[in-house]
Amino acid sequence: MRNRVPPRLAGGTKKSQRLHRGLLERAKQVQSVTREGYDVSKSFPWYRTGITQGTGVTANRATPIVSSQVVGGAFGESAFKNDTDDDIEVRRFTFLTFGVNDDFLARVGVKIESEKEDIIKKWLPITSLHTDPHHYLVGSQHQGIWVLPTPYFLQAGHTFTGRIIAPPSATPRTKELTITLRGYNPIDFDPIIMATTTTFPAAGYNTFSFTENRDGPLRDMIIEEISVGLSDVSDDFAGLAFFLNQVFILFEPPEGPKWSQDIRTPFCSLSTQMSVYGGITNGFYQPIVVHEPTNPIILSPGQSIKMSVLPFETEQSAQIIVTALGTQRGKRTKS
Amino acid sequence: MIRNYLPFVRQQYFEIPTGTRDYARIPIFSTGGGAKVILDDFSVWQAVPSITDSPLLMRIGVMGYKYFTEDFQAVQAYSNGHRPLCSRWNFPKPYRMYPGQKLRTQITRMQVGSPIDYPIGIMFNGIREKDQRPIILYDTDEEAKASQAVSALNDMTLATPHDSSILLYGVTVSQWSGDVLNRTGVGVQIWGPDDRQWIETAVYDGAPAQIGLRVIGPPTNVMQLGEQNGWVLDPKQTFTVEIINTNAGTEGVYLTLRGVVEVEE
Repeated sequence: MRNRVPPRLAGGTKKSQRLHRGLLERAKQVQSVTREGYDVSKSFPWYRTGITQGTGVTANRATPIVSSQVVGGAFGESAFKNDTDDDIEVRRFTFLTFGVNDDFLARVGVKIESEKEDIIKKWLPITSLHTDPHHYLVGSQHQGIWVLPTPYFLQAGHTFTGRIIAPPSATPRTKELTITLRGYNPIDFDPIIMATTTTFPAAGYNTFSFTENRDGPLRDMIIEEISVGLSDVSDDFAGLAFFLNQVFILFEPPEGPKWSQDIRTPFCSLSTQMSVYGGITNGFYQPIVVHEPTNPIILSPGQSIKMSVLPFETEQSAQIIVTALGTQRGKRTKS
Repeated sequence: MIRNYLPFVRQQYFEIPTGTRDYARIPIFSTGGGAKVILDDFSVWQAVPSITDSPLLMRIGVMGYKYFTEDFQAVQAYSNGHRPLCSRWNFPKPYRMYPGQKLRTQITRMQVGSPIDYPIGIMFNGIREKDQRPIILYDTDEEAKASQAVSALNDMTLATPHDSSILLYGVTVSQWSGDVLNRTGVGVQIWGPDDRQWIETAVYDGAPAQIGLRVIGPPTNVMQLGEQNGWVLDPKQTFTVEIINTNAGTEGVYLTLRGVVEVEE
């Protein structure tokens, strides 16, 4: 499939002609792009998000507090189910809340259970799970980079698109976002950056697309990173303290399975690096807890990870957003 | 012989009156036969941070030898690392535990003011050597307790599974706040399977103590050491620090040294 000649060819420059020739002759070369022993063109990022309401109580501890399972499907299924035909390597969990004080996640317990065993069977405060000493525990950031758990092979002539929905609060809706794909050409290893801008919709969703790969020089691209940031960093950010918490993007790659099922994943749940303009002393601190198992948790098709949360004594109520992130593996190309 | 690496954290606190100097000698780890000590990092943390000036001058060395620099340098001059933002420590080398072995931990809540109570938890993450699957050792105290209360966390959830040895790669203690400027931590003590104390971030006069390096808020100075930089000592040697306080008032200083001891099993 990847060897067919894309419908639109590049312009007449010498470089694009060379690239075009390379494209036609590239079959073996492209098939050899591997990462960790797997064919890049058959491995895909995978993530699932579950949202549950952590309801606190204003009374004392004697008041019963009900735990809730993090579910994603319509039938009370775990949000973190492998509904693909391939193995999933779960490499990262992200825990996030909206609009409450910064101590909320420290007062919510979590239990985790896989098909094979209880991973955590006592209520452990979520902040105990954090494993990255240098990751900011705050989501009030304005630029984020997501290093994909596995590179994505974007074919020449195909368009990478996505959708963005309205943020929960009104302030960011006037802002413009820049979304960037970063990677390289698998034939000559030249770096490639494609950027597009979009705005938040008032309601529903806006779509965005990266047309350079469709209209520009004919080339494949191995996407390694996706970044999201404000186009205008001169603005007053005091009112945007929750910025990346409120960016809900669904990426829609042209080939392969969907990376995610719905659009409820905040971009900061995916980000591996975040930065901020103007310091982080304004506004709330929104805790993000990132847990990366030392080795991936393998989910065979149909298997799931069950997760429950329980607010300890707290006067706050908030949504708890949990994202499991990893790789959908195709066939291993070498042992 | 199989080599194993015992993690350790040693923390000392002392107060230096204005215009004077003081010494800290940090005995690393009495292993009784360890092969070598690999120092991971060293931090200096002022109890009351000074942002604009540098009232502390420091030199470091090994007791019984010359200092690495004869002249005192500003504490900041030694800093070459990131400031960690949470109570997490990745061990420089993984620690192996065998079936039947178990960790013992104790955590002292240090937060004062409101909110005064919060649950506490500790988590070690690693892998089973048998099948390379990830594993978590953990324990938690769900009960709300007042500041200064001590939680002994000793459940069997801190024990090695019966069917495989494990490698531990790091430890995290729950954190009550996502506020990166908040300086309050917890006192942490961890004992290994032989009941030897690995980690002690003791509680001094009610002042906040940290697990290893949850040292946040400027000017926190972290000095990355590491085997690759030659920071390998004999277990009997003592890491020595000398500090001069040039500030107008007394300075309280926390010194934290982290590393691993190589032992043969």
